[in-house]
Parts: sequence; C-alpha cells; structure tokens
Amino acid sequence: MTAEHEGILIQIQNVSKGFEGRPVLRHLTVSFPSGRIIGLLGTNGIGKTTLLSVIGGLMEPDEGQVTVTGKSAWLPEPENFYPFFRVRDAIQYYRDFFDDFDACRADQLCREYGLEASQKIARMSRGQKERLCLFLTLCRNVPLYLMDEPAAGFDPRLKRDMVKILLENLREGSTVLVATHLLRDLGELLDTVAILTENGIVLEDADAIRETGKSIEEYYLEVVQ
Amino acid sequence: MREIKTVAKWELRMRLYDNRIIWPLIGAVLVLHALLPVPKGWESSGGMSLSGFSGLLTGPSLLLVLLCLYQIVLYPSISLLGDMGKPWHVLEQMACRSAARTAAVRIFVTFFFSAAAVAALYLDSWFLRRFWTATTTYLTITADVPDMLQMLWFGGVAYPVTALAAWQTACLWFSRKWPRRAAGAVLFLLALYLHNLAWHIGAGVSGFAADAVLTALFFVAAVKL
Repeated sequence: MTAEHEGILIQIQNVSKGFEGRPVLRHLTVSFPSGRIIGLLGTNGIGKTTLLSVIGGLMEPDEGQVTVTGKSAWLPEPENFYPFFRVRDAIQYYRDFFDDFDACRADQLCREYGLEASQKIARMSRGQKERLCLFLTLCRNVPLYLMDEPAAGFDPRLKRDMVKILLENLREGSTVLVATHLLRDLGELLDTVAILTENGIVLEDADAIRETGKSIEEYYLEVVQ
Repeated sequence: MREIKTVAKWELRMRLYDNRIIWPLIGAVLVLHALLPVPKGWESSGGMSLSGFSGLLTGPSLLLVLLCLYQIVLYPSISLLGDMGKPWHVLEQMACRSAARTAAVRIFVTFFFSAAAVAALYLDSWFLRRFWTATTTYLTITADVPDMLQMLWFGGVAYPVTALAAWQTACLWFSRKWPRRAAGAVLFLLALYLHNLAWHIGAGVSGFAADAVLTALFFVAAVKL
C-alpha cells in the first residue's frame, strides 16, 4: 500500500448505536484512511461487529453520520448462505446482485484452491467455507472490504492459508477493515491499528508501534488496560 | 426491472427448496389417482365392497388435503413473516435492494404456491370423480369452475392482503420515525378491517373489489418505494 492512495475513506461522526436501551457505540467520531489494512481491536462486546455493520450499511446508527467513499464488500459468514447453495450458486448469487463482482476470477480461485462448482456448501469443511467466503468478497471490485473475525477458530495451517489468500488477492489501493483477536496471526498484516474502547477509538500506525519494539498485541494490552 | 427479476429468481429458488418434499408428495398422489383404473363391480357396489381399494383413494387424498391446506393457509405466513421478522437475511442486506420491492416479489412468488395447491385439490377431486363414490365428499368441494375460481381468489388474493398487513407490521418494527409508525399502524388496521369485512359479509363483488384495491395499492406502493 503506497502513500499516494491514502486519503479519508470512512468518516464516522458522532455515531451512537444501542440495542434494547443498552448503548454499544457512544458518540463515536473517527476517520479511517484509505489504502490500508486496518485492524479493529477491542474487548468482547465492545461493539466491533456493530461498528462494522454500521459502516457496511447492515445497520442504521441511532444517531450520527457514516460516510464511506464508494461501495464496501462484507465478508459473509458461511451460515449466511441459503441452505441449498452449491459453490456455483453462491458465485451466481454474487454475479446477479453485485455489478462489481468478477465471476471469472471467483471461478478461477475456487479451482485453484480445490473447490468444485457442484459442491454443496452445507457439506463443506469449515476451512473450505471460509475460503469460499473470502474469494467471494475479494472478487468484488470495491475500495473497502469489511471482515468480522475471519479465521477465528482455525488451525494454524488454515490461518496461514487465509493470510496468503488475502495478500495475494487484495487489490492495490483497497482498504480492509478487519475486526480480530488473532493479533499473533494477523498482526503482521496490519498497517493501522484501531482500538475500540468505552471512551472512543484509538488509532495508531502499526509501523510506529513496531518501531517502539512492541508487538501489536503488547500495544493493544497496554491501551485496553 | 432487472433487480425485481433477480430477486424473484432467488426467492423462487428458496421457496422451491422449502417445499422440496411437499410437492413431489402432492404430485405422487395426483399421479396415483389419475392412473388408477376403476375396478370391475365398483359402481354397482357403490364403492363399498372393495375397502382396500377405497383406502387407496381416501388415504392419499387426506394426505393431499393436509399438504395443500398447509400450502394455502400456513406456508404463506411462515414464508413471509419468517423472513420479515429479521427483517432481512444478512446475505440480502449485503446486496442493496428495495425492501418493499422484495416484499412484493415475495408475496407474488408465494401466491403461486397457494394457487398451485388450490389447483391440486381440484385436480385430485376431478380425478376422483371417476369413482363417483362418497370418497370425494369429505373434501366438501366440487370441481366446478366458479367454485375453483373463488378458492383461487381466496388463496391468491386474500393472502396478499393479509401479507400487506404483515408488511405494515414489519414497517412498525424497523422504522423509528413516529409519523411513519403511525401511518403504518393506521394502514395495518385499515387493511385488516377491510379484509375481514370483505370476507365477513359474504364477499361477493364488493368484497373481492376491496381486496383487489388493497392489493393493487400495495403493489403500486411497493414498486414506487
């Protein structure tokens, strides 16, 4: 990712969101730069998924404004697919609904990684399903990819695979906002760290953290504690 | 129009999957009753002397009636309200589409299942007429065209009006603006009142017209929204 791509991609102004009277996001204001892989970190229940959903347009904020320059692609969970879906149905669904979807690329990636078009998604292994979800997301030509805890619960080999697929297929200049706890596995990927706390969000350049000799995980623990 | 066609395609596929067991069963009963030859002596005995054969008529017919009633009465509610409660599947939320238009497509697609179930009941009744016995009387329907049209109207038109009420209820759930809530509540009550009134007074042309106007209004609103 080069500096020339950098600008403001996501602007969040005074956004609040709660569920059944319980506030989750409180008057959050932050801007995310473009062309970077941003790790959205925070303790369980702090509102990472809610923030991603609000940015992705899956939820409306109770108040405040979210501005995203261009479209975004959300990494689906395998459970989001209809029960009758085969690999080819999932690709066709994306082709039908998303003008920016590159179906040829998706077919090619599926073949490369051993996913057959006729395979029923419900009968695939967890790793295969996650791979397919990642292919479908990355084959959309959008400036922003939103990922909520990808590779959670994976064995080390699958995690390495996910990182490899992500690095090989991410379009230059695009931004990834990834909510994760897997700092040891995905920490090296991050350009920017965004730590969501009860008092707001702490944004820091990942290289600046590394230059201090700390790992992303150590920095995160410092902020949270 | 392209969006409506695409939504209709996937909505139909989902519903075909939902009913993947029911319709082959209905088809099997119809084929059985269509192909059964009338046994010798059946007419003179009034159908009473061959109780085993009589069972071949009544058993599957009862199954068919139960399945068709499920399709006409229960499935539309399950199909519509089940989807609207969330209100939308995550996969659908990702693909931006008009919620009202999707609801209209859902009602239209589900209507075909209701109408086909009514048609199946009449078709079975027509096949059973060859046996002229009391076997068909438990259905309390006759295979005349006006009666069938009335049933189709009930299954096909009365249902969308109920769905309109359901849609208004859904609007109440996911709209936070009080004028829209109030308008939704008034429309919901009005739709239910007119619908119930139309069927309570024995319908006739005015009852049908009330349902038709409500349904047309809903579809126009859905396409415009």
